[in-house]
Amino acid sequence: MLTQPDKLPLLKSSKVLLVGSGGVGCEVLKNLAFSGFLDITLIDLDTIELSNLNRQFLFRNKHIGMPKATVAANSILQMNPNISVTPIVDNIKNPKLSINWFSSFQIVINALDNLDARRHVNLMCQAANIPLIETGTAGYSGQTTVILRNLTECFECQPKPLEQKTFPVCTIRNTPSSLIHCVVWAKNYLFSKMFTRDTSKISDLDTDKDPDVEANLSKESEVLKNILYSIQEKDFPKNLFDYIFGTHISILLELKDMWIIEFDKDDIDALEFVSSTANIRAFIFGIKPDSIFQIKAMAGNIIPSVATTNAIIAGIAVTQAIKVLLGNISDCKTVYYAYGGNRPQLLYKESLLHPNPNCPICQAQYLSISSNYSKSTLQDLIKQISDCKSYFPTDFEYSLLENDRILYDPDFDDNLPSTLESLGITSGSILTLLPEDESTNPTILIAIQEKNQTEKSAITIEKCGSESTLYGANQVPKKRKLEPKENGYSQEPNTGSKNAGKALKKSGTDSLPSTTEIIDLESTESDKVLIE
Amino acid sequence: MSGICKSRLMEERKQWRKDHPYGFFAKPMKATDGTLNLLEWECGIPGKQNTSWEGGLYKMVLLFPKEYPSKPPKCKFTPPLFHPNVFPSGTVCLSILNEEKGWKPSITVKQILLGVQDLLNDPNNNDPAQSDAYHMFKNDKVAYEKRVRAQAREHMPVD
Repeated sequence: MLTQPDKLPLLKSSKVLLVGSGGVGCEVLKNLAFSGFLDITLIDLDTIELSNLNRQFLFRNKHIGMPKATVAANSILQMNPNISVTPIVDNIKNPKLSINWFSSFQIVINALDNLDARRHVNLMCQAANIPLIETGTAGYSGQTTVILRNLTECFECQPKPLEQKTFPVCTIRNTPSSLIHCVVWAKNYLFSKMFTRDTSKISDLDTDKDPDVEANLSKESEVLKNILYSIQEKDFPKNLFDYIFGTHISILLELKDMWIIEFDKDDIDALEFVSSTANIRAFIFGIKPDSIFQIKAMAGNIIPSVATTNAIIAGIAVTQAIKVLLGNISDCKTVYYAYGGNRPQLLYKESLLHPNPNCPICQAQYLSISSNYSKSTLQDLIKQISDCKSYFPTDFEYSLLENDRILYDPDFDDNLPSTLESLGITSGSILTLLPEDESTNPTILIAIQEKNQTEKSAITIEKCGSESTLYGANQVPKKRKLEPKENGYSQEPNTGSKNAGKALKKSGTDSLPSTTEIIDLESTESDKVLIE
Repeated sequence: MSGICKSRLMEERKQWRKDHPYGFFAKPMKATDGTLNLLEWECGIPGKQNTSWEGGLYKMVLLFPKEYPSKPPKCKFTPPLFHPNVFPSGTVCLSILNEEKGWKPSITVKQILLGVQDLLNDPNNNDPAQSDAYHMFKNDKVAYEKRVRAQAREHMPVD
């Protein structure tokens, strides 16, 4: 950074991809634009909403309804016209944004709001061997970390906490044990059954479109219907109360002829209904009730987005990006921010961890395939894989998947005569090849556009990503070349396992990829930081 | 779906292919495009010998969420079963399949199916899921056993 002005040209020549232009994204873009970066690409598929304006400061009232990426780019160019910002209004998962496109960047910064897109970017960065800065915020807490292929944990090395909790039907209907169960019961079960038409639209509740709900309730429906017809009458609340909390606790009814509304946390009647019934039910089951405000947060799944949290995390993320590009990898940390937590400090940091040796994503070898997908069959692909001795062991047994579909495995060869296209495999598809033999790492095959269409069923398999030096290391004067290794398979089994969970340190370099040069980690200062 | 979900399910399939308890089956379902759906498995659970469930092969579908193995699969008998802990929709109510109770990511498909087999002749009266079977089991054991045996006959494998 400014402490190393001689390295500023490194930032100037770096192409940055920023994924997401929301709360964190706007802040990251501002930081990039004012810390020496000249070439920024910004992608977001979303449009601007009124509720964004309190924190996504590149947007104004007049921009509501317009694409975030475009507006953010224009706003930032007004502040700093000397840089280049390329906005892309698209989903980052669009197959057109190929592995080669990712490879054109020196670093990627994620400012996303969902796991799915994060996983995709993580995978593409692993494939292309591009450093990734990952960020996330929720209310008064946030975090950012650095993901480097073969050096650190990737986004998938550890299972993630569940995005949104769902609850088993029996807990909700029969055995609630915490207030949230009562809130879910009141909102998603009682409320939607009474006032909503579409009974299958029960989110948060793990019922599927359970016919048992209807079956169980058919007997009770007559009683409840009569009560509900008296909705205008004085006795309605008492009758309803007596029935749902007196006669039977779980009753439902599909109402065809009554007024129909969706639960909306901002509809005061709906909220009062849900919080009252939830609290009464909680009381019955010996659970402590809570205020209408707290229940609003629960029922509305409200996680406030806080501008300062976003700004802090974005600031650290860009600092990390600069460190990576300048080659100061040893200074990169996972940084957590938590306001109002148990710790006395707002920020705390942890050393980056080694990759999980069993991670199916970052321990995979990445290969690209190109083919005439409408002509080549699965059989052709299988044959090409078995002929590809440089990437696969001999007598290789494996399963081949695309997302959650098994295309082929040792017990399932029905699809061999099908063309790749008819199996849904085309440019942009990502295939996973899982070996039967546990000591062999998985392979991830990324289908790319056919290079030449001369041979009808030819399939080309090539290594993904650049083999070249990364992380700016080639510009760092003092460096050490590591022992070259063959492809991923020849690693000693479980080299990383004894190190897993430990901080990166000097010995960790034994899991470095072939031909990658890194900066010397022996300088005492770095060691101190790393081993702490 | 996460990388972990995919590799774990493939591992489950592999382990099952190598070895599984006698009389059971479990495999990913074939989709209309000819591929197998890793997230939906069809399974068969035989009733235990020397119980009134003997002779029946009870078909169950395992629906794995994308968050598996952090979250348990949903287990659903198709057609629904007469049993105190099976909802009228066929969904099984069992503590090891409950995210908030006994579910642990280390529980295997084999353990689930064996657990459900145990549940067949050892229902849990504290967690009723359908009223017919629950009340009959509680109030009239003789009629309950008779009904279960009749159900076993209906579920005899055809071949």
